[in-house]
Amino acid sequence: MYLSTIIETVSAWAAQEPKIYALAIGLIGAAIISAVINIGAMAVVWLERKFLGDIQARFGPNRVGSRWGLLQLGADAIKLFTKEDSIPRGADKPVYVWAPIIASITTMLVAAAIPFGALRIDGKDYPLVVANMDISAFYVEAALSIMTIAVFMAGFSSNNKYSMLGAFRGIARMIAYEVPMGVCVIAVALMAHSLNLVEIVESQTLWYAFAQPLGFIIFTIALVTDLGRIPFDQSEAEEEIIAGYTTEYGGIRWGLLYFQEYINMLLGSILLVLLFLGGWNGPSIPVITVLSPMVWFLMKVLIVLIFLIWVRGSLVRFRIDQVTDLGWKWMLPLSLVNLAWAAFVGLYFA
Amino acid sequence: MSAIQSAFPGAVLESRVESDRRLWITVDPKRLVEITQFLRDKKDFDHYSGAAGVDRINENLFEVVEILTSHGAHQVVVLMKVKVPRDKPSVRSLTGLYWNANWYEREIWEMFGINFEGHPELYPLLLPDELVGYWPWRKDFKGYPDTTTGERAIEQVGPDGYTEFKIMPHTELIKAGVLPERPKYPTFREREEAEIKSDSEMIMHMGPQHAIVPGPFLLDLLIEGERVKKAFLDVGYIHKGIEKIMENRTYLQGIVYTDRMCYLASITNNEAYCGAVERLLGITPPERAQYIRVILAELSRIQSHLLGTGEFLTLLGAATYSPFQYMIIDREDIVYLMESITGARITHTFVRFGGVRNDLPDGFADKARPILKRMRERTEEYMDLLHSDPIYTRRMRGIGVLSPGDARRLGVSGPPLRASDTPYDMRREDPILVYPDLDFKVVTRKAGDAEARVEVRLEEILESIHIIEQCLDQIPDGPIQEKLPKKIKPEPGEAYYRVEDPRGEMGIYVVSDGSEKPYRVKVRGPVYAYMQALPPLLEGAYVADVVAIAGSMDACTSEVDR
Amino acid sequence: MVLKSLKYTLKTALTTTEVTRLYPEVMMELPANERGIHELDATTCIGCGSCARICPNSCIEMVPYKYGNPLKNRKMQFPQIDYGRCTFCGLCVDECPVSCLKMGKKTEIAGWERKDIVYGPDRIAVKKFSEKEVAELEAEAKRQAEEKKKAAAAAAKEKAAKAKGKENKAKAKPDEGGEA
Repeated sequence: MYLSTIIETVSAWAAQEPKIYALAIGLIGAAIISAVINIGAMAVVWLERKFLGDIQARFGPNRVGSRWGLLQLGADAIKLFTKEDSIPRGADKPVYVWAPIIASITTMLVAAAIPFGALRIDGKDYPLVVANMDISAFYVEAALSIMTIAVFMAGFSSNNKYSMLGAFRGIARMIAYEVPMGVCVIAVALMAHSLNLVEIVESQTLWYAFAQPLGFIIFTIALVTDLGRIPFDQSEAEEEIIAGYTTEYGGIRWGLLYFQEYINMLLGSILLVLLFLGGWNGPSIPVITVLSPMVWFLMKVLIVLIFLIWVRGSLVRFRIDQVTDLGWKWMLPLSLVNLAWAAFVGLYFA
Repeated sequence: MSAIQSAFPGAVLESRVESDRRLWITVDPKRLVEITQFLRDKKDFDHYSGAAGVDRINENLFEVVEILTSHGAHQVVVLMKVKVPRDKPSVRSLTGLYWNANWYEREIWEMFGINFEGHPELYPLLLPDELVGYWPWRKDFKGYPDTTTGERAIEQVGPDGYTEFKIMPHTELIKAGVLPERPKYPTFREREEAEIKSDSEMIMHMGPQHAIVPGPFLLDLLIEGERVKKAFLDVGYIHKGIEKIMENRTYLQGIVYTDRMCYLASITNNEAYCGAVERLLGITPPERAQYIRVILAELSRIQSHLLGTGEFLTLLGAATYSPFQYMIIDREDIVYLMESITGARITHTFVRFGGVRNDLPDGFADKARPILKRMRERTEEYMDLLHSDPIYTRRMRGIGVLSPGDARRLGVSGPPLRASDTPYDMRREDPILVYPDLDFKVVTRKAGDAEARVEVRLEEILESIHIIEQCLDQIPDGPIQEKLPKKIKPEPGEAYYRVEDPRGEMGIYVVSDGSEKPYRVKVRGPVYAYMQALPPLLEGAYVADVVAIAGSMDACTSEVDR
Repeated sequence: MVLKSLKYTLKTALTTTEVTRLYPEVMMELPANERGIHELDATTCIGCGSCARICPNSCIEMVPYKYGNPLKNRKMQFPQIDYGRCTFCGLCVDECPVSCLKMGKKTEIAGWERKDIVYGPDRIAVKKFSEKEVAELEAEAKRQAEEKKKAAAAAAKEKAAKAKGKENKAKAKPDEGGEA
C-alpha cells in the first residue's frame, strides 16, 4: 500500500548508494535511539517508583505532574542540574570525569544493535534496528560488559575507601556472571542457527524459554546480577559502603550514573525478551495490524520489568562471597549443561 | 541465703539485708578482689552487672558500688560498696575477674577521677579527649573551661530569659594550677594506627554518622580485603549528662529525663526509676495501677521489637525490603493504642510514684483485642517468611555466634543472651508488679547466631501479646494512684530496681539524702554491655556481616551514652 | 523458597490500600488523651505558679494578663509557655491545683523566630472573660477590697478602743487601789 511503496523506493535508493544510506540510517537512527531509550528509561524509573510503592502499601510520587507523578523524574533532573559540581581532592580527575561518560557510551553502543520491535507490513515483519549486524547477539553481550570498566573507573578514581570496595565488588560480580550469560546466548544461537538477534526472534516458533528452561533461568539470574539489582547490588549497598562506587559523585554526574543503570535495565529486559520470550512474535491484532508486533513486544518487556521490580522489593541481598560462589560454582557448570542440552535438542529437532 | 553469704573472711565493714534478693555490703578496699573472687567461684555470682560511683563530699569519701548477680543459679543481687578517701582515690580493678568490668570502670574514672589499678586500658569513654581531667560528676564541679582560652564557663540567665554560658575571668586560677593535672594516654587514633601491621590492611570507618541506623557511635574496622581483623568502638557522641542533670531536679521532674534515655522503650525506663523511688518511700502502687503498668510495658516491648527487627531488615536489603514497611505499619496500631492511653507516642512520662498518671480510656479492651489478634497473625507470618527465605538464612545463619559461655562472660543480657540458650529474664529473676501472677514463658534458642536473636525477638512479641490478653482479662477496678505528700522527700537510703527492658536488663540505682532532689542516680543500661561486647564479636567477619551482627544486637545508642 | 517472599509482596501489592497519611489534606485523628498545646481556663486560674515551679525545663513563666479573674487571682498572673523548650510531659497539668491547665489536640507549632513560639496567656487561653466582665469583676474586687479595708479599719479602731479601755481601767485601778 502506501507504506510498501515507501519501502520499495527506499530499498532501491539503498541499493544504489549504499554508503550514504548507511550514514543516513546511522545518524537518524542514533538520534531516534537516544530519544527512545532515554524516554524509555524515564518511564522505567517512574514504573519502578510507583510499583515499589504499591508493594509497600504506599503511594509512589504523587505530587509532581498530576496525581500519577509523571514529571517526577523531570523535577529530580532539574534539581540535580542545579547542584554544585565538585570533584574530591585527590581524585584522579580525567578518570573521574570520564566514568559516567563511558557508562553512557556503553548504553548507546548496546542500543545500536538491539531491535526495538517491528512493524508488520503486508505480513512481513520489518525490525526497527539501527545496525543490523550478523553477530548482534554476541556484540550486545560484549558491549554490556564494558559497563564493568565504567564501574571500576568510577570507584577507583574517587579516592575513597567505600568507593574502592564498591568497585572491587562490582568487578567481581560482573565478571562472575558474564560467562554464564555468554554461554546461554551461545546456546540460544545454536538452536536458532544464527547470531543475528532479528533472526533469533524470527526462528522462535517455540519460545526458547520453553525449549531451554535451564538456560532461561540462568540467563535471568545472570541478567539481574549484571544489572546490579537487588538481590545482587552489593557494589552499591547503602548500609555497608554508603553508596558504593557512586559515593563521591554528586549532582548531574551521579544522575548520569543512576540513569545509565535504568537504561541498562531497559536494554537488558529487551534482550531477555528477544532471546527467550519470542521477541515480537504474536498473532496479529485486527485493527492495528501494523503495530501489532510492537504491542506484543511492549507487553512482554513490561512483564519482565515488573518482574525485576518485584524481585527488588521482596528479597534481601546476598553477601559478595556468596554471589561469586553462586556464579562460579553453580551457574557456570549449569550453563554448560544447558549448552549440551541445546546442542542435542537443536540437533534432533531443528 | 543471705546469712550464708555473710560467713566469709571477716573483712565486711557493714551489711544490710534488704530482702531475700538484695544484699548490701561494704567491704574493705584491700580485700575487694579476694571477696569478689570468693563470690564468683563459690557462690555463683557470674554476672557483673555494673558499677556506680558516688561522691560523698560531706564525708570526704568516694564510694564505688559494684553490682553482682547470677545467671540463673539464684536470684540474689549483691551490691558491694568500697569507700576510698577523696584526695587520692584508687581502687583495685576487677577486670581480671570479670571481662565486662572494663567499660564501667573507665566511665567511673573519667567522671570521678577514681583510679583503677590494674585496668588494661583506662581511656576516656564518654568524654572527648580534651575534657578528661575535670571530673565532671563530682559534687564540686563548677563547669568546663573554654578549651581555647582555658577559662571556666558559667551558666547565666541572659536578658531575654535564655541561659547563656559566660566565661568568667579565672585565668589566674588556671595558671596557678588549680585545675587537676590531666593524665597522658594515647588518643583513639593513635591506638588504632598502632594496630595496622601491614600494607594490605586499612581502617574503614563506619563512623559516627552511618547507616547502621540506631544512633551515633564510632565503629572503625581494620580490614584486609573484605575480612575484619579488629574492630574499635567509641561511644559518647550523644552524651547528655542525664545522671548529673537528675541530681538537680526534684524526683518528679526526673521522670521526664528517664523517658529520653531510650526513647524506643520509655515505659520501662520510667518504671525502673519510679520503682526505685517507691522502694525508698516504702510504698507499693495499687493493683489496678500495676496491671496498667504491665500492659503498657508489654505494648512498649512489642513496638520496640517491631522497630528493631524492621530496622535490622533494612540493613540487609535496603529500605526497599518490604517486610520492614509492613512491620512499621503494624507498629502504627500499637503506638496508636499507647497514645490513646498516655497521650504521647514515644516519650510517655506516664508512670508516677505510687501509680500511673491516668486511667485506661473507656472501651480500651474492645479496641485492643482485635489489634492484638491481628498482630499475632502478622508476627507468625513474619516468622514463617524469614524462616523460609533461603537468601536471608544464608546471610544470617552462623553469623556472629555467641556461645553461651561467651555470652555470660561478655555480660550481655536480653534477647542476645536468651538466643544463646540462657533463660535469664528479669521478669522471672526479679519479679516486680504483677508478673508472678501471669503465665508466660521465657523464650530461648540454642544457636546464638544472628538469626536466633531475631527469632527470639519475634517470638517475644507473641509472648507479650499473651501477657496483655491475660492482663485485660484480670484487671481489677480500683484506684490508680496512692496518696502521696506534696513534696516527695524519701528517707536517706538507697535502692536498686531492675526491670526487663526490651533490650535486656535495666537497673536504676537511686541514692537519696533526705532532700527533695536525689543525691545520685545511676542507670545501668543493657545496651552498654552490647556495645562492649561488639568488638570481640566482629573479629573475623566479613564487612557485610558487620552490619548483620551489629544490627541483630539491636542497639539503642542513646541508652549507652545517657 | 524465595517464592514465599515474592508471593507475600505480590499479595500486598494487589490487595492492600495505601496507608500513607495524606497530610496536610487529611489530618490525623488524635485520641482524647493527647498531649498537645496547652489550653488555659483563665476564669479559674489562681496564679499560684505551681506549673512554673514543676516544669523540668523552666518553660513556664507567669506574666500579667488582663482577661482573668481578679477575685481569684490576686496578682493577675497567668502562665506563658515557651514551646521551644516544652517537652509535652504534662507535669504542669498534673500539678495545677484547680485543674485549669489542660493539654489539647493541637500539635502544630511553627514560627519564623524563637519568640514566635512563646505562647503567652492570650494564645493559650480558651476560656476567658470579656472586657465587660473583667471590668465588673474588677469593680467587685475593688469593692471587696474597700469593704475589707473598712472592716480592718473598724477592727483596728475597736482594738484601739479596747486597749484604751484597758488602759483606762488600768489607770483607774491604781487610783482605786491607791484610794483603797
